[in-house]
Amino acid sequence: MADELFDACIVGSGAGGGAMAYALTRAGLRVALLEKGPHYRDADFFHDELSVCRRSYFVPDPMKEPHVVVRDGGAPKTSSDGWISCCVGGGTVHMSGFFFRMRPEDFTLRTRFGDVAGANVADWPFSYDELAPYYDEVERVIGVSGDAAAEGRSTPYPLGPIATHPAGALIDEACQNTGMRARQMARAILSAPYDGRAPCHYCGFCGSYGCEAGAKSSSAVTFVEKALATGNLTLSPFAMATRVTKAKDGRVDGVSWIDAREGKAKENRTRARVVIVACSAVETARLLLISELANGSGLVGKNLMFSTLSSGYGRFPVGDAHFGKGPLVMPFIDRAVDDFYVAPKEAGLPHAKAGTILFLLPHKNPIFQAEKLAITGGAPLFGAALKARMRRYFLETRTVEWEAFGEFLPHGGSAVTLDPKVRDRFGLAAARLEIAMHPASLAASDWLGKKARTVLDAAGALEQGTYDERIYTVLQAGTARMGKDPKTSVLDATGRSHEIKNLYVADSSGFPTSSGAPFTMTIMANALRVASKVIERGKKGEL
Amino acid sequence: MRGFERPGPLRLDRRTWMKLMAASTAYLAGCSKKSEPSSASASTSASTHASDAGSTLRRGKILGFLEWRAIEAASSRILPSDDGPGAREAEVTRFIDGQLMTPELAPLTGAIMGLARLLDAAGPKTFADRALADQDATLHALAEGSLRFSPTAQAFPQREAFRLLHTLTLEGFLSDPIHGGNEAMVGWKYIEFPTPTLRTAGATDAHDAHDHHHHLPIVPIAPGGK
Repeated sequence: MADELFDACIVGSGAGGGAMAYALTRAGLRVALLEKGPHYRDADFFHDELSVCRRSYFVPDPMKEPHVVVRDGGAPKTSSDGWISCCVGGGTVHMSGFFFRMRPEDFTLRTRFGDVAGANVADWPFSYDELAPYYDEVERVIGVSGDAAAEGRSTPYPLGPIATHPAGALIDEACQNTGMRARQMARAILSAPYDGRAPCHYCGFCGSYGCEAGAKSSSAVTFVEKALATGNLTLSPFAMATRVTKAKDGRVDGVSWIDAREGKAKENRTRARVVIVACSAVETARLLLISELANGSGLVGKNLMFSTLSSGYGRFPVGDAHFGKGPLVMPFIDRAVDDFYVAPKEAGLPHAKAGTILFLLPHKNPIFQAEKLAITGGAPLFGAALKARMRRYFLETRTVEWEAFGEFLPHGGSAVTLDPKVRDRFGLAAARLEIAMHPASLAASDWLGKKARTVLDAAGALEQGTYDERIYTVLQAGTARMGKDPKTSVLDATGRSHEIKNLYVADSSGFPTSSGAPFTMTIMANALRVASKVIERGKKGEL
Repeated sequence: MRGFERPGPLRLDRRTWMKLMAASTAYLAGCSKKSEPSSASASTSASTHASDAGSTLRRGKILGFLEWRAIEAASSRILPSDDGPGAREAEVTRFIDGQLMTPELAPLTGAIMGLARLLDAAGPKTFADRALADQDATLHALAEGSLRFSPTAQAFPQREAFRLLHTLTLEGFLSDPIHGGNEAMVGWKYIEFPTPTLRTAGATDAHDAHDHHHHLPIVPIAPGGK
């Protein structure tokens, strides 16, 4: 591999890298795909909460590959926060697969809503219309299930909506009674056989797990499989990129990497005409900073964004018309309320861009739920009081949860840098994450939460509560924003470095703003769009 | 619909780990000789405790007789057996003993040993031999970090150790029996958790090759048994 000159080397095989590999190999380019984690197949996935969700199955052991996290200017803590699943397919392997498109207003946030004091709001350097055909392609290629009629979409989804629990009607009615409209959201899960893959069997172990049926439309079972089928892809699992290397002419000429199974062993090298970095907003920034590349603007790592989160629950009686008796079988209700994607004037928010409220059945993981019951409201509860809470949750009531995803305005207090001291097991500087939310984002998130609680009140919840977590760190963006001006952006509109003409970024790092809903689908669509530019230049002999 | 908030071993940050590991080592080193475990003293104290009547003294592959008794008694106060099965019936201590043999949790062995020693030293009798109300009071103090009976106890990371035991107890009660706890699925039956449809891991070599989870159990077991 060291001698071969690839047309492109992609670092990271998730939503962005996988889609990129798919498009480039289909166009006949010879591609090397480096992935630091293993290549799990469907048969590797199983329902063992302890092994999969509570030990280092998908994300690295924070003892060995730490992130240093500084929240709200507090004391630095080493943690696994900010890591996304490290395996072929990346975060799409253990995602829940809530699939939303961004909206036209997301691409013109600054023009439409103006500047916000203390934030770095920017327009995207292209419009929704330019991205729309790539959203269509993502839906078609990977298989997305949705209810086009309910959404008022002119084009159908490739698959009809997945089946939901009858209790969804509870949310529909409550929304109607509170002047909102709930619709079933689209999922990257197959509702019927598609493209040789089996459909969902409704086990409910989606988020935090890999799908043993292959029904979840991860990059691994879609884009990467299709790229491998072309014969043009060389996939290297366990390849931890250590540096994007620069040639004397100022262009990049490949990627150095370590075999993650061997630790600090010898460095390998993959040579390529084009290098495409797509290893998550945090790790992409880290790799560019370590490589000392593309940072003439000083903006690599700046404007780190997540999704704001406001979340809570309502408990409902067991045995009524909605929930019936016995354990829940159908795992989904999957209602989304997007009436407040832009909040009305009377909300009085400092920034009108709010987000999307989802109503969901809770995750089945029993340890996770029991621990949440124990730690909600302070010190861990134990003894008879804890068991009473467990009985209340597991036996005496049924729970509907809500999660509100909102715009996380980019600002100076949220960034990725290289930690001056902490190193990972490969000897590389750890990413240091400063995480803080702009007050306007927090206000919008709070307001969405109030709206969600109104719905559960109307639905007759016996009791309600909220969870503490306010930032959803698995959805991350920014750190290498796209823009027209090299002084105020890292990448141009085609996802290419302003400075280095054969270096691209194809994950969410390029996003100037973060939208108001989970944005995994936008990562895929934008990667296909960036790929089309690479292919176009390749045809002209400009790689 | 998330299944975890902060992935990683026990969701403890590295500083907490370091603190637990370092302080527990120091604590163990500072323990006086008389609190060293020995089968003689253990069997004497065991015979004086009503709830242990008729039971044989147990030890694990990592936990000694004394540690086993203390951890079992403490985890049984976190999930008591009054309204149905608790930590004791689920064999949470056996689960913890097994976890301490995994590469990820082995570094916390000292913390668990130190915690057992601390609990025993916090009163006139060993922890397991004290009245249940006294045990609860000790655990509440531990959770707040307010056990002040000696300088070494004071230096011990009590809150962190309590959190560790708390988490391991819930894990041992509700994880797949393949890991040594949740005996006969008593935990799952207690919460009416439907048996997962898929319990067997790993048909490919990805597991074996990965640095982090070569220890994963890949042996199928019959539902309801060990």
